Amino acid sequence: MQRKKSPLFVAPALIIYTFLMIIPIIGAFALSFTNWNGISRDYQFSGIKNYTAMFSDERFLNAVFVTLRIMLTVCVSVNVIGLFTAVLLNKARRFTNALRSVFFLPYVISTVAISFIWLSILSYTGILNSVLTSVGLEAIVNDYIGNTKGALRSICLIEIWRIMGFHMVLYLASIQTVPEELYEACIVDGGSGWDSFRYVTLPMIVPGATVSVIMSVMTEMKQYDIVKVITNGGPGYSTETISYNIVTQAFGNNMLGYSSALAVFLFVFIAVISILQLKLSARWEV
Amino acid sequence: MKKRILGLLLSISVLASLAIGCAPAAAGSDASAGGSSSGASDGDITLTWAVFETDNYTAEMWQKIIDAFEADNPGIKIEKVLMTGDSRPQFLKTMLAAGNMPDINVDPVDLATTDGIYAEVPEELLEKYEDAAIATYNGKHTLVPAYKALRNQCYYHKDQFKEAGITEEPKTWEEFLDVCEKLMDAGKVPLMSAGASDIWATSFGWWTGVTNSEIMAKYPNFNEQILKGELSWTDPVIADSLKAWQGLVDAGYYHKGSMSFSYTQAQSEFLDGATAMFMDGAWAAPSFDAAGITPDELGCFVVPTPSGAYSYCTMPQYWGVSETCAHKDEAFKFCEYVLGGNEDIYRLYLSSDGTYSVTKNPVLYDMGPIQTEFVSNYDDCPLVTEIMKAVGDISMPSGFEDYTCKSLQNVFTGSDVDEELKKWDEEFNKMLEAK
Repeated sequence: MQRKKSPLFVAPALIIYTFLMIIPIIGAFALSFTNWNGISRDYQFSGIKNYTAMFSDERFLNAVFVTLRIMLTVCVSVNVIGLFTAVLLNKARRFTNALRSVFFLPYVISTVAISFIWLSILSYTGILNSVLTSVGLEAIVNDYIGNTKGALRSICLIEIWRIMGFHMVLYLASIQTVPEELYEACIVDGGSGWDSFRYVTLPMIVPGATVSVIMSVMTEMKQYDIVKVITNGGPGYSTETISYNIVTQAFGNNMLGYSSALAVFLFVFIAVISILQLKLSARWEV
Repeated sequence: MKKRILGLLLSISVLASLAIGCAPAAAGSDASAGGSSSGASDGDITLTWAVFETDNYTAEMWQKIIDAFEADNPGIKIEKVLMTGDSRPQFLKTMLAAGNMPDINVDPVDLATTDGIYAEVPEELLEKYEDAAIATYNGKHTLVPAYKALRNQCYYHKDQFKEAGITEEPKTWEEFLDVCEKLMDAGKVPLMSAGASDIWATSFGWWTGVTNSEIMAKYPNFNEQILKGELSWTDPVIADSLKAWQGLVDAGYYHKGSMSFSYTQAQSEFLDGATAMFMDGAWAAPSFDAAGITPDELGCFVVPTPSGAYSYCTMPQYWGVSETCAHKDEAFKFCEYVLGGNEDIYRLYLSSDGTYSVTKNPVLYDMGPIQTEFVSNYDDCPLVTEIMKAVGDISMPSGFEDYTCKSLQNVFTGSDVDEELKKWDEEFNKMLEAK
């Protein structure tokens, strides 16, 4: 039977994608060369001024540093813990589906709702400190979100808790595609449990791991909502991320041209990291 | 062939639905997501009105205003647009960008700095308001004065003062420090502040109650001078005031968990007795009265300043009618009705948040005992401009106040004051250029 091909089949998706993604991206790129304040009808072409200004903007550079710290901490944690729990869950047999749902649950709850729940836990008079006090551990009672280090750690912790289940499901799906014969061959060759993980599971799940890592990188590079609800970028601007900075510059400071330049920077930054990641993982694929 | 035709038809239908979806909302469409005035099919004019809700400004209060206006003005309907999120200026900017600017805006000051957003207010309407309340932007009057709000004082628990052996409210800076020390000696926490996502709440009490007074005592025309570049934010008056505040933190007078409390949490903790004092807003006084708290339990005083400067400031608030409004006369009629034309309605609006009238014929209302004490504390106190809330040509650039609130959080958590203030100058100049 001859399969029919027609470009019309991609038309709906292409049209939606063009309207909602391509055109706004081109628009933002064009605006990044202007001094538009987002309100008035008048604006001037400002060349590459916005791009040069961002590298001397201490607040933005701090946001880049904070975003990278969150991204590295969360990506490493969710991928390591996600893989570990996926391996364990794969052995859980009849409990696999039930436990998968439990771990996945935080991912489907509204991020804002999650943030408010964690606020009530981490506040100075919140649940965590109350529990510590009630068991006689007043000495380690802390102001978790009231200082720079604590606030950043708290944001990472909440984000790891929130998305770990999603990455675990990605790894679990990859692990379940590994042919059983390969494990049997490993055992026949005298391989241990670690050997079957190291030489069978890991190489076979590289494509799934690539997707998981790239998705976690992209999610964390765009981190906004948890920061907004938990600390609003504070104390001071110590937990401001790139996305938070972009929104503040655009709608708080009326510098939409400048914020567009920051958005283009973020776009390029994520693209470069994703391409590098793809190239690296391609080497490890079996 | 049939399949190809079917595919083509499906693609066209998707295109058509996209075009419909992207088209501007038709006149008379639901205003709950914003939208501008419309002429409804029954001949009524519908105006959209952007408001926000708090514990004081409730949905019921707004509805009472709408019902009263509609009953007295048949043919004009008011549809409420609720400004959600934590930044009303950001909400309005988003609506403006989407072409859905509400006809009448509460809290329009931030957008009013840009020419062409709000319509000029008729002179006969402006004549009804105090001259000091009229805001001018490049020679234009685009805002309708709504009210003035007192800013803050230090509320305190009288029983905790008594237990610490404090018999009088502090009148000088030394007495204030002595009160803090006595409270500490009695095992109490003197002061509460707030943080978490409420960035403004950390420094609100100190900045509006103390630093503003100290700056205005030395530079009565501070806003004009700083905008002209004649002054710097690194001025010793500002630096010394902030160092004195940081000194209170370093001395351990503030509650350890202050920075992790939202404003509401901080106020609740204070009312529960976690601290003896809280520099809180004027809006808190009517809510304390409404909660049945008596002056035997809670008092308030004007915070003494290290330099001895003594003044208070008010925040003026306005309404604006969008330039895109198709029925400006009716929109200004609504402004006039609520903001003084109907005294009962204006009284309801003012008393809800403990604010004060700006009409030439003052509209007064019965205040509770704590609010009365709050107001009477200013009897011999001179009124000065609130630097960050000044409107018109002497207003601060958009976003600068938010920036300073963040920087003041850094000061609270131990950053070097002089270094922070240097950054204020840089940020101020950058935002001024954008303005």
